[in-house]
Amino acid sequence: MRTLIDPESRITVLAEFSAIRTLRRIFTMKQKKDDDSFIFINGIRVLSLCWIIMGHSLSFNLSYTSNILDLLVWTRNVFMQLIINGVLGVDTFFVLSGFLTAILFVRQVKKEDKLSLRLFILYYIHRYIRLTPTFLLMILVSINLTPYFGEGPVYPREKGFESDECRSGLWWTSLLYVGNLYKPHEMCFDIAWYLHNDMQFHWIAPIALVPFVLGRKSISFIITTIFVLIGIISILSILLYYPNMSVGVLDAFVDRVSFVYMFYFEESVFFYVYSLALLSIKIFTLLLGVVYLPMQLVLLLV
Amino acid sequence: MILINFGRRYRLNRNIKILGTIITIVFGLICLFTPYPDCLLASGLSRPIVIAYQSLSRTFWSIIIGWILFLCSIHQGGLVERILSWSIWDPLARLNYSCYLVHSIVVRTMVLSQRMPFYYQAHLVVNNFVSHIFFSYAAAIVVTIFFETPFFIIEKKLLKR
Repeated sequence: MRTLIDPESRITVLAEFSAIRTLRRIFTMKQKKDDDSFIFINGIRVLSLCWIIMGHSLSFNLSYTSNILDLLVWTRNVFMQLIINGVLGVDTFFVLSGFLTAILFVRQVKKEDKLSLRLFILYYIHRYIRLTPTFLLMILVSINLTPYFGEGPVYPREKGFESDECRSGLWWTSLLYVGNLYKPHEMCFDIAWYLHNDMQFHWIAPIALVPFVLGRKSISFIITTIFVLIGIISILSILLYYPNMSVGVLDAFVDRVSFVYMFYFEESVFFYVYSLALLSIKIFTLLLGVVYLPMQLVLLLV
Repeated sequence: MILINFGRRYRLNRNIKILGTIITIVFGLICLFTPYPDCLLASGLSRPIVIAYQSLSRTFWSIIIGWILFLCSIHQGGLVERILSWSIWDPLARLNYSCYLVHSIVVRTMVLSQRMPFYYQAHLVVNNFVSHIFFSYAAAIVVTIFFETPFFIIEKKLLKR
């Protein structure tokens, strides 16, 4: 085969898009043995995602079970606790993201030996174009194709899984990664709040990293400490400021139930909409802390 | 590795390593099981405790993950490091982003297509977990081939990396 195709021709460029080639790339298990790649991160990523899928599998199911009360009784089981706390799996991803951002940024600056404008532009653009196309295409699928994916008495065959607001053009917040700040409860692709937050952390991370690469380690240490404190204090103050906000561990988990039950308990409608709207802003501020701790760790060591 | 890069090699004292690991495990247990009494007791936990948990648990959790990352990156993670760098994770890790994006669609399609409400039993919960994870990764293969890789290749060509 190889001899039939002229390696110089433009056709070979097209061959890179081949599905078979992509499959082969995905399923090679040969590991590079150099010290620079953090192979162990693969394990953490896969296991955390499995943990998160477990949590979602349970919580998405809650709205369509006949024995939801049994489930509440099950929370007395230790193993159930492990599944409910799957929210911490998301934090693991924030930690990894902070860790890699810090290391790659510092490494790149060391390689180029200076802080150039080009480095900054690439820092922002690279992540954006790695994540956005796939993300937008998935939103497109979610808006337009999910109505046809299934059927049944409860299947949303007309609207698919997205909200009206999203279908009528709110997807631009996903394009700019500000969905958690503007109309958060109408956000397209609700699980993507993680992407929005993570991108925002990526934008502000250089505040802590630039002093570091300029040799002012103490300054960047102080800045990261401040970030961590902002994270802790902001969630603390939000919870203290809204004494009626639910803080139960299960509440975040059964958000979906509250959506369904909202229609039955009218007096609680306000409460749920309220907490949902606050949720994403809350998450944004409190997770600030999570990202910066590992970064701090790295900065301490280097 | 960070350290090798900067011309220093880290050797961690054995005692410090053991101490750190014990502290990490304690933190982990605190993070995972503080809310447990909230479900056990009829009255639930008192509000101050829950608020303290909500504001600090994420920071504590990141310390745990940070410690694991630290030990593994200086190659002193032992068994944990060996498990985490097992090569079976590689293909799955390449599918991870697509899988993350697609799993909510997969899970919702499977859940909402049921004709009758689901009656939860312990083995069915496990059954669901396994099938949802499997089908999410299976769908992620399609997403990776058609959505992710083409843009990855175009980007590589554009930026000449």
